[in-house]
Amino acid sequence: MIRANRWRPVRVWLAIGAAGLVLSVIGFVTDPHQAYASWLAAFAAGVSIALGALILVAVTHLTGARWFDPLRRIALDIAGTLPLFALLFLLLLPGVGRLYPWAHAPNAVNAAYLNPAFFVIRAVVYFAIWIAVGLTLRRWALARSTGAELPPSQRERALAAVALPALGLTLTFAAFDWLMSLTPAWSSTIFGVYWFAGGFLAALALVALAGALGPMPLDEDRGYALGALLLTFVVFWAYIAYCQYLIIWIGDVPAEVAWYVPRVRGSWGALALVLLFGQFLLPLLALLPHAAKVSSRMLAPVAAWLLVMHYLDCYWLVLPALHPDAVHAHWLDLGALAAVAGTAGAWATWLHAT
Amino acid sequence: MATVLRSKIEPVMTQTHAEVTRDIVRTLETPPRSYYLAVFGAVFLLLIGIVTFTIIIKDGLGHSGYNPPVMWSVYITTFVFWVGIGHAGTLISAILFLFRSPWRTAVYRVTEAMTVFAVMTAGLFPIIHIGRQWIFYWLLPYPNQRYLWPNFKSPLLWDVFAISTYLTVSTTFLIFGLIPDVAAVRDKVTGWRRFIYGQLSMGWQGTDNQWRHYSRAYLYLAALATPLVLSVHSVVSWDFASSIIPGWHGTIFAPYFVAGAIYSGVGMVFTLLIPLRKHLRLEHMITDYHFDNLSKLTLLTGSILFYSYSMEYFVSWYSGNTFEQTTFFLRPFGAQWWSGWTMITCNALVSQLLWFRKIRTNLTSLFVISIFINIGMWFERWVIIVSSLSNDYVPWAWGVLNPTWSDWGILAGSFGWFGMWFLLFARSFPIVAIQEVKEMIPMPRLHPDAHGGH
Repeated sequence: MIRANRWRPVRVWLAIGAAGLVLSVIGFVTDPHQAYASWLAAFAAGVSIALGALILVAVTHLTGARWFDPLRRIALDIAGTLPLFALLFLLLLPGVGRLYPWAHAPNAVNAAYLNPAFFVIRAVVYFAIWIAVGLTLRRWALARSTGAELPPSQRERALAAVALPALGLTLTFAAFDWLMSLTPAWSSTIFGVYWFAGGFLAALALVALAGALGPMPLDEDRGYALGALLLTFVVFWAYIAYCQYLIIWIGDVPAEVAWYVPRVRGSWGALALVLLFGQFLLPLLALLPHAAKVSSRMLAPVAAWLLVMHYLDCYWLVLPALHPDAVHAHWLDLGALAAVAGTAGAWATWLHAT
Repeated sequence: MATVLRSKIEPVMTQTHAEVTRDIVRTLETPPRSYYLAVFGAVFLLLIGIVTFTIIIKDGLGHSGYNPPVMWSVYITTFVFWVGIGHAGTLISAILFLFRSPWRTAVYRVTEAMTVFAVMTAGLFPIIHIGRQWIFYWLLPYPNQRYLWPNFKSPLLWDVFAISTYLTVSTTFLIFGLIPDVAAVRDKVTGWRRFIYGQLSMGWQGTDNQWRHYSRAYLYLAALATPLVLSVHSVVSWDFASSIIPGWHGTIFAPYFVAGAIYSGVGMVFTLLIPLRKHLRLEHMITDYHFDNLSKLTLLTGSILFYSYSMEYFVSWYSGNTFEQTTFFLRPFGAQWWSGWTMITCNALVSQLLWFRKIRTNLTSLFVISIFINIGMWFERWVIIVSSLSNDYVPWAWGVLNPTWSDWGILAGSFGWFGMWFLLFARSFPIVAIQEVKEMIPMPRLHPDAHGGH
């Protein structure tokens, strides 16, 4: 009976994921342009959360954050979905020609970097590093005789320190490859940091949500630490977003504003405002009071809200490349989201149960 | 790990409250001759600066070699350099206070004082740079009969607000943090000193009620000061990034400058703290433990600089923008290649040495590295400012600027001005926070072993 209950969430997630996969596969055949763009948005949101969780584990290893010890297993299980994201990325590959204009422009100025072969090679390198670090940190944490809830060992700390620069660079170039190169003539030095900020915030939110809903509700210390970190990274995300927007707006160079023009006009502009309020102002106000941080009941809805916002953020990064005129909500968006969230949810809950 | 940390803070923990007060108040006694020599040296440098400034006021900025296209050079470079130095102080005193980092207690007073004096130094430079120094108040938006207002969309005006806010808040924070310590000194000294410290302690008696209000207020001040760590240097970075000059117009500039500011600030903390701790015989209070943690902060921010440089070079190539590419090519391979390489070596590369614990806890190596950091961070701003202005969109008008005697004179003067204030402060006020170090001392217990793990 207990066993059956343990596997139930895995089955629920798997059902969602399977339904989403069926829809998406239908989409890949019938409406590939939309299907791959929807897939990329959901994939970018999901993989950035898994990476954020991995970076969170590495950072807390190094800072020696004791409050994080009981939550580490959750973060490690989220980071443990990185092999799944490598599989989900494979489904994206047939769509590279449809998603990225550079795939058909061999004479572009950055063709030495943006070409299908090098794109795939880089992705292999990114995933190899992420999976190696993620699985090793997880295995070492579980291998401790005392369990993952105790402070990390010396070798875990050493790996975390060495891995962080590699994670930072691979994450940045992945952001350039998968998202920024949707508009190949546009570039922004802060773009990798922007994607990191959103993903790390969402990873914190997911850890807080899973922790709050888990069997052991967050105590005051942990809740406060998570709430304060969420608050910090809500502000950090907004700061990075503002830095990019301000510099491009005030410079007003045609090649640079070309990326923003579709994203801040019409219904995309409305979505940008939703992000401004939903991923910055509202959570900022919600998380400011001490009471909001220390109670699981307050923290959980804010965290869930922030996860939705992170998906919308990635949606706002990707979909204007396909529909520059206005938001075209599509059933394939939901299909891809269900596929990514469902399979990742199943994978993480399976890791958690074993 | 916990045991390792504990052993590293042991030197402070074993002392009694009385010993802490005695050791820190001792630093305010009659100083040795070496101290007077240092003050004299600082004042001498300041005099060089004053003389140079007088000549500039009389003759104008021609002495500084300003010529189109390079109209910003050493003064703006040094302005950014000193503003940057200040950031480590606020980070350590405010942000680490909110994070409850135990290692900040012994070092934060030094860094706070450094912050205030560094910002005081930085604030002089825009005034020196504007040429007609006697109408510097035109920078401020005030109602006037000409109905003239500064351009509110200009980051140069935001700078005026950012820097003056920063100076106000960091000064308040320093003075406020000093109150209980000044009261402790008041109770140890006699005569006219007692009167002065008594006035400065604002009637502090250390009652429960005073402490309750004080701790609350300190928390709020820390929370108010925290955004300034990000905002001030972001605004400084936008002085450059908001234009479209190649090499300036980078979206990453704000976080890149903030990281650089903290990096340079911690570098200056090392430069000041390592000799000071020996001179004031505070080796048992400021230990390996503190230097190790400060070094990790340096490593982190130095690595962020490494990342930012990499992004700039990569994206300038990726963008296909010829002018950006030219600027970034000329930095390491142009006429002033030496400054480009100084910047990369001292910041991106030297900081990576701090991966090794042996280097992090060796004061000689740290001191040498800190000098590299100071030089590297000055050159970073010099490279960003001058190399970018040298090669903008009109190749016909490209030009190179080399610093002149007046630049060096003002630069020397700024070190003298900063050094003078810092030295005077170090012998007039407790340079280590007495009250906070005392809080690190465990409560006396009848049977300390009975509690085992605590």
